Amino acid sequence: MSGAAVLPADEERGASRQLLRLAEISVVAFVVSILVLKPLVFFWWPDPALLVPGLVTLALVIPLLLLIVGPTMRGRPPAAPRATLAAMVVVAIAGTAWTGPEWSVAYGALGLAVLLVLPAPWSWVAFGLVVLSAVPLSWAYGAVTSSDQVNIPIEIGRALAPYTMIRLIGLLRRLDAARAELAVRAVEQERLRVDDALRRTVGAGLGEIAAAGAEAAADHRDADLTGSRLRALVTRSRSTLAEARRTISGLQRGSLRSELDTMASLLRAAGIDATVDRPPDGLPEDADEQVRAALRSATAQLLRDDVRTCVVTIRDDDGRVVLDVTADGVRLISEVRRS
Amino acid sequence: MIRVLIAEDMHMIRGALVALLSLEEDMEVVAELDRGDAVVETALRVRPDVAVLDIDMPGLDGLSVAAQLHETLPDCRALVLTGLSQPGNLLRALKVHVRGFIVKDAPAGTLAAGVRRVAAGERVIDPELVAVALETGSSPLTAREGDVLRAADSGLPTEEIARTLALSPATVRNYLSNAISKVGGRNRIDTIRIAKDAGWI
Repeated sequence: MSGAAVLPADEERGASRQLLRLAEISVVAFVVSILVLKPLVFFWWPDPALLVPGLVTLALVIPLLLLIVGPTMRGRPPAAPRATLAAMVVVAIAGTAWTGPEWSVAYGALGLAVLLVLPAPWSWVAFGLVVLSAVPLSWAYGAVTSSDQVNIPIEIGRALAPYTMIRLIGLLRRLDAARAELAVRAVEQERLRVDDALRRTVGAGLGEIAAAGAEAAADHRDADLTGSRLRALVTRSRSTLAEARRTISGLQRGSLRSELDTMASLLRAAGIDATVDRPPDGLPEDADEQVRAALRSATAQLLRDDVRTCVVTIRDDDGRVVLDVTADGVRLISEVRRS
Repeated sequence: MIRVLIAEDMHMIRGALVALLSLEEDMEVVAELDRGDAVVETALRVRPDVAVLDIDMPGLDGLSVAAQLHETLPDCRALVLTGLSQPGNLLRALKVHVRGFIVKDAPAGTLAAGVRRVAAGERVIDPELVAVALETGSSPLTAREGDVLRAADSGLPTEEIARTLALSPATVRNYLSNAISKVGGRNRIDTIRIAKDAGWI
């Protein structure tokens, strides 16, 4: 036999996790290179007077920005986000005062932090103010150029692109975590249900068997009495076994639709011309045990009696499941209702 | 007198079945076998009325034997002994005209009564088996996916399965992938186990 194949769902899950990691790395690379390093290369590097203050302020801004971006992408709130944002504002003001209006090209990073930290709609107002502040700043320094005006929409785009990605990645992470949490809860509830079902049925039955066995073993001088006790023990054991099977089957129970489909398959495989009429708008999934028991009983009876044709009709009558089974024109079961 | 052939690979169980049915005044055990692939040949020679077949036998499984018996010796009716853990086998059994389908741990009297009823032309299906089959649901696999899984279960590599079933290796891999997805197995081996346990292959 060749190598084992992996369940596609697992493959997809693994691929989506890898994609998320790749997206995280891409976002961090984008933020650092476009929002922060690009000003360094294009504006500060050619001017040695701006290079040192630019590097110093960058060394402060990058970790502060990542303190906000990192946890947000993992679906967690950043630690002390407002203090981090305030520190970024201080660095931006200091950087601007130190290097002049050229530092405003790194305001996109500050705008992104504002969008991630402040609640909407104030975050958008603050974002607009941060990005647009480059214009009055340039005026204040008396250095209005056409490129300043053109750069504003570009800066907005540079901040919004990673913002959207960061929010989406964070949302996906939270969804993943919520799904995992739900799965754990479902398993816990299922365990409790199984435990309860087994304790009520099999547990009680085994207890009775043990008691009956102990009684039979305690006094075996009277052969007739012992025989009678052992026969009762066998009967109880069989009934407990049947109960255990029913319980286990109940735990694996599928939908009523699935039972009807299987019923039709079994009957047709036995050469019976079986028709199943069911409502076009679907069946209730939680039809009670009475309906299911009637279906099983009807199937066993139809197979045993070797009928030629049968019609199974099931419908939802104002919240009640109504079942009719007719075999060779004779009504077998009628009107089993959900209470 | 009902002539009975018994095929069961486990020696002690076969012995018990022979002893049990030999006690019945209206039954005669005319052959006992421990392999599935020897049943048809023996049946053609001894002409039994009822063949009591274990579902899992070396050589050929009980349901395949029943299908061959129906083809070659239609008068011989098959009664298959099975476990409740493989409810999906009921559908396959009905398709291959098995007349009796009884769980192995049923009370002793059930087998003799079942043989009598099957010999009389009735169909004997354990109601508990029907209930479990309904609850488990029918096989989600298509016939071809079942074929590919059966071939994979016999240990054949993908290329060999493709050659045996006159398919391309890519199609075989596609069928296997679909089967894994439908059954919900972790891998090919797990899928084969689930499908076998449910009686789908």
